[in-house]
Amino acid sequence: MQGQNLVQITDQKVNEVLTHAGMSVILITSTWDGHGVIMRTLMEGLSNRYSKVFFGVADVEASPRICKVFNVTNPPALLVVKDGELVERTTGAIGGSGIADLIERNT
Amino acid sequence: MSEDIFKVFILEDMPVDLELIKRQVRKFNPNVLFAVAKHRSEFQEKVGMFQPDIVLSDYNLPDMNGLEALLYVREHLDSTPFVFITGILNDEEKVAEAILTGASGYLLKDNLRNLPELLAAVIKQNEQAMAQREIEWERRRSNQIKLRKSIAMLRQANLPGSDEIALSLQEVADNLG
Repeated sequence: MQGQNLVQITDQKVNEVLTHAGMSVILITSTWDGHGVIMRTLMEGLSNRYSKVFFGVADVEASPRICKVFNVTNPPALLVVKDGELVERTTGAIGGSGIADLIERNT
Repeated sequence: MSEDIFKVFILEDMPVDLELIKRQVRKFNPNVLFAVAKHRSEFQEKVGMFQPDIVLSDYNLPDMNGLEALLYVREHLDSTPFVFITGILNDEEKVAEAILTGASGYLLKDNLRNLPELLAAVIKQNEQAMAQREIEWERRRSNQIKLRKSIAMLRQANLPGSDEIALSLQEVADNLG
């Protein structure tokens, strides 16, 4: 079940992420991406802890535009966007504490 | 261009100048994603991964100069447009050197209001190369997704030897980047 604050991002909504004032954390994954499925669950939990951060998730197959913008071909990828600037990105599996560290050091 | 996201990499160590440049870029295209570096290691770490549509670079940076940045881009990002935005590139020899080394243009910081116009001209000149890069990128993305999806299906099938095959394919996918 999708967390209350985890928003599904589509190609049509990517502009909203770029114009969002403050921090956005975006996960690019897919249903067949095992690590990404786990990371999605972790982000659901974190979205309740960091209420000022925008949490989004996009599908690597359904969202070619998002993948192009963030240069992602291998899910899972985690992107931190702050006021229209890509400040950090990771590819591959990352745990809950790693995601929290990513948020803390860019806050 | 208005529908597309414009990806701009800025190499600039002065926060005030950085914000002024961002503001002018947004005038050219409000749908923009920035990436920023303030010194050499950050630049080299970020620029290849970001795959910008254009690089805007100061000339004098704490541990490198703009020409070094330009040469790095030419080596690693092919023909990606590269524009100097600087307060001191007013020496004719430096300008000539920059152009000869493959810069797409230059702008003095005093004339920053002209940046939207310059961006329009540079993007127009590079339209064909940018379209080609997009086709190449889409081909790479499509191949990677097919490969990764096949690996996931192979693992689920749980056939004799499927784990070893999946591991080998995983290495291939990782090497393809």
